[in-house]
Amino acid sequence: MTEAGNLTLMDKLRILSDAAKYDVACTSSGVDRRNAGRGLGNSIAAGICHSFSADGRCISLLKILFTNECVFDCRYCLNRSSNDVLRATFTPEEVCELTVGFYKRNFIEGLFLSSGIVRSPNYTMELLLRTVQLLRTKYQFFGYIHLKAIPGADERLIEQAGYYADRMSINLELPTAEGLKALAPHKSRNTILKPMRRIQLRAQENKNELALYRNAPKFVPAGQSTQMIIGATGESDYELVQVAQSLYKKFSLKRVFYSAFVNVNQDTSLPMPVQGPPLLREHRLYQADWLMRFYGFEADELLTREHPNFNTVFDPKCDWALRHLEQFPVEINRADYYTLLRVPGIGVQSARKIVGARRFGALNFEDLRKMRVVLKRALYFITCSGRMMYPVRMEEGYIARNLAGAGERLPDAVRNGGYRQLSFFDGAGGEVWQ
Amino acid sequence: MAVNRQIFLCEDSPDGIFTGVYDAWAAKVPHELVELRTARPENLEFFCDYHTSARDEEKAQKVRRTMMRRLGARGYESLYFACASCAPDKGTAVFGSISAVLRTGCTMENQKNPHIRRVYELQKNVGSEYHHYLGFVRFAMLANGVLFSVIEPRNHMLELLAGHFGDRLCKEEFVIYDRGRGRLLYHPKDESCTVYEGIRLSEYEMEQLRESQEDYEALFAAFCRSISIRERKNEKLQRQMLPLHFREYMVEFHNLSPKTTENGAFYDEYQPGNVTESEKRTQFLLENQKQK
Repeated sequence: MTEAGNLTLMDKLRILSDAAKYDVACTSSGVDRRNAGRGLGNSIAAGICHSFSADGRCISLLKILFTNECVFDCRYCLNRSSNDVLRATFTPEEVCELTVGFYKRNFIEGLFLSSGIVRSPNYTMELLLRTVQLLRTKYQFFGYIHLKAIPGADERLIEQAGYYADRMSINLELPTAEGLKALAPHKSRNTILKPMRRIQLRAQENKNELALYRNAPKFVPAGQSTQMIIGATGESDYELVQVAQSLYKKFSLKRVFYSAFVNVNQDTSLPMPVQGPPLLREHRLYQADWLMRFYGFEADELLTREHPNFNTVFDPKCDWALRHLEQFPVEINRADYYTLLRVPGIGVQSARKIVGARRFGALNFEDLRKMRVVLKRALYFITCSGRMMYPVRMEEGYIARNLAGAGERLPDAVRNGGYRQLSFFDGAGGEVWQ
Repeated sequence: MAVNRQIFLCEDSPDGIFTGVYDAWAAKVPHELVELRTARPENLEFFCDYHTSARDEEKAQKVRRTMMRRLGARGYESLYFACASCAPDKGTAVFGSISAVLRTGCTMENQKNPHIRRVYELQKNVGSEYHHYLGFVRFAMLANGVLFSVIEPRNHMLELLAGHFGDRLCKEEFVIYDRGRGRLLYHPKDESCTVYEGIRLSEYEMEQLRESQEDYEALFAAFCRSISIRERKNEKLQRQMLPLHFREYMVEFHNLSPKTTENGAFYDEYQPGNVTESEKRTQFLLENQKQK
């Protein structure tokens, strides 16, 4: 397909950012780099959000495709070769000018550069490599660069690009090989996992080099990430978290992103959800992802073959805790950090505060409240110096009912002055008859 | 004398507060009676002894060094951030924390202590605003190549932002203007930043700055629109992550139709069936392409 000759920079930016928006990775995190008078820009490991779009997602990087021309025909993709959409291509200089212009005005934290496959994977990868090379050397840009590795491109090209980028990513797209075969006929598990492994090994070697020579060039210092589409094929949440876990463990990925499927092509072979994209499912997956990365949970603990999908009412941690009441209540003044993290309602911040403060004396519920540890959910699972906040029956049904009542809801026993009113509908909760 | 509250008036800056801490300690009064204030009281109160503590680099440096040694960079940072707060009780909280640290030997993790807890709250409040501004500051390039930005923060931000932007944009000449306080941060090329006090820009000057829209600003506004996914529209989340009071000086929220500003989001782009200018142009170009 030929390209319209009269595209302005504005047109190109519109088309190529619109085409890139389904890629969810937009973090600028993972690397601390000072500028120290060398040129333009630095990087903060925590990442910085510069704006938020109308869908509430963070805008951190200038997220664009180099071109939306593509020889591949993936069913879920807006830019597949069989689609009749307006095609546009940047030049490397245009990308650099835009990045630097935006960066100076503090609009963005850096560049996220992906691309459709033009001519061949190698040709495309060369274009991307040339762009980031130009940006780093000629434009003296030291901000964040997230670069996509093109599946099927030569390993040497990918490796070279890794010395200019902070983070690289190759999208897994679909969690199962069959799904990939059905929906992305030009991609295969092999062309995706091979470069992923290559980047991982190179990054490990680089770590050793850096230990020896402090000033050796850094290879992908912010690690690599990937993305999976949720809800386009029929896999369960169990399979998804298993795949994510093995990516973290076996491929040392920094992040796995989940993208709720939007049927942009109105393709009849793909699901067309009536209530819009499966956002709750995506949310639950991110929660589980956090539990695996920061809370010390294993995928097997969260879901099993018999229990393959997340609960819609409770978040994964609550759900886990309700199924493991034998491990509760936990003593706030004694439990170690990772045990505290397993209490619903206690996150990294609260757990750190507790561990820090209890060195200077035993904590009671009043202290916790003043330290702004939210007790709404935690109170069913903790004791302070051996006492619970209120008398709580350690029964799944009882706690679940109180937790589901959301908001600042106190246990029944407390609200009714310690006694529970007998009522005609008592059995309706299912508790009496079970 | 010992039952009167001891009120130390000090300058509203980290150095001023640390000097106040030094003077209050040196005054040998019971620590639980000490209050540090950064603003002159409108009415003098009964049963209070007032002391004025003039900023003194040397005294401040002594306090700073002691705290650095006792608490490390992390703990010192929480005190420093608390000093940048706009809360009137910050001085007292800082003094109370330092007193607790030096007398009981605890660290800033001891949240059982109300002063330390208060410092933690202040630090979190200032820290979150600081982190917001790292992203939400918007520079406009003036005709002479100077990058100019206006902010209206709740807490003192300029000194904190100086470090970040001074490194990031070291080769640029830039200005950050705190409109509410009339303070201005100036960074010349390749040099360090200076803060100027008492600078007021008139409404007319502000208008002038706002009028001069550049290409890059239009490009970025367009980018922000085209990057959002229609099927996932969520204005509530957007408002939660980027509260409305920041948007006055953020270029991507300017020049929206009245309906749009009311909703605080890019509403016009989301009406299904309502063809926008950009879509019209895309359709036109698409037709063009087919004819070729």
